[in-house]
Amino acid sequence: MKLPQNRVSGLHLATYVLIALILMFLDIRSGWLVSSRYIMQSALEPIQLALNLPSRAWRWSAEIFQERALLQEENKQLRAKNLALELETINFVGLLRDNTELRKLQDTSLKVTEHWLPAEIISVQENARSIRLRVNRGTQHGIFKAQTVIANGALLGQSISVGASSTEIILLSDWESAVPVQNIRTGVRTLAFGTGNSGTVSLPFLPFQTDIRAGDMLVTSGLGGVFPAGLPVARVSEVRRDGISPLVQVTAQTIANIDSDRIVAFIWLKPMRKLATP
Amino acid sequence: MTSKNPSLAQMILMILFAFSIQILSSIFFNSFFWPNFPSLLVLYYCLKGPRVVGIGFSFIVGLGLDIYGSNILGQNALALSIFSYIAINQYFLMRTKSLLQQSIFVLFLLILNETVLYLIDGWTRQATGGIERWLYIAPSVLLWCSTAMWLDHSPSKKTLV
Repeated sequence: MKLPQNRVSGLHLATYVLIALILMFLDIRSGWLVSSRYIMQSALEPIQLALNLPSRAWRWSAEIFQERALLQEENKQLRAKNLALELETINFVGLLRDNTELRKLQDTSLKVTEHWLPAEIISVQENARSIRLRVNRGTQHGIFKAQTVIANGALLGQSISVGASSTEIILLSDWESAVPVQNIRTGVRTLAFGTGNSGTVSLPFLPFQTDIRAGDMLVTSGLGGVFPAGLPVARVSEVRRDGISPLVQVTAQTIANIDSDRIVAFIWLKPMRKLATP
Repeated sequence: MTSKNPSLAQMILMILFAFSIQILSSIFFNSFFWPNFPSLLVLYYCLKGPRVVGIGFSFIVGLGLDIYGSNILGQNALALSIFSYIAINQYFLMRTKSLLQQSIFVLFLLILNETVLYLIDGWTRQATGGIERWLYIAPSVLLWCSTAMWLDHSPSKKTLV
């Protein structure tokens, strides 16, 4: 009579399935689980941070033992770049002033970057359904939901779930991501959707006759109020007009990439002028 | 028959280890073909011996996967519960079979597991993804086979004697 004891009864399974279904229902239909999820995610944070230590130590030691000549060379390049950027800033300040005046005429509100905070990537989730990152900044650093995240001077994505000391970022190429963009060359505004393939977005809502070419630069249009205007987003890589669809199929490659750099930055925005109060 | 059951501490360590591999792999090389270690761990314990673990164990690992993967809470828990229910109940049938037959069974279980996840994604109107989400299954089966051969912890003919 040992065999029956070694089996699991269907009642057991039914109980667990029921618990799982209730959990899923609560998670989708109501916000009850948001706070408990937050706590559980915080429990997972120490593991992720601890796992990040070896790679951090490796990079640290690599920096220590890097050759002096190499560092000097890099320093020289950075100085040159800095000078170029300073010159650009001088131009930019003038342009910004002009632009503000024009915007005032147009009665639109332009948001500008107030300050920013660098963050380090601690885990990458790139699977069939989502392309997301986890970084080592959270509510204790003032991060909030739907905050703009940049990398390499271009838009990377936005924060989607914020923990105490880590935050999940949804990248532009994620299935569930959409960002309002504008074509710099023509000024056409549209939406860029994630495709689920790393580094690729698509523009599905452009009419057949739209003037768009491979190589066109897309920047954020600032519509919707989540992202500031003018951040580089993607470069058009393929434009297909098949003659069957009334729309043109456009794919673009995102400019920010996480392969080259493990540092991303959160930015805080402030409206340049207040919205008109009713 | 007298397979030594792992202690609770051992199991917790193994869970931590499986999740560590999963997180580390995501940092260093991100591949669709990377096996899902936590679910393989559940499979391992289900087929290690009669009633080494119950469904509760897989449920907890599943919840961990949900939290780590930011899925709907309970999605992986549900899939892994069904998965382990079948695995545990088929244990006695399984141990009389050859390694090849066992790996077909494992393949079936993993496909079932992913199908449940896929259906839940679809029903709750989440992104269901393309072919990529199924790619990890084949390497998982291969890994299970090679590990079973190496450890010989799998329910094989030898342990029956």
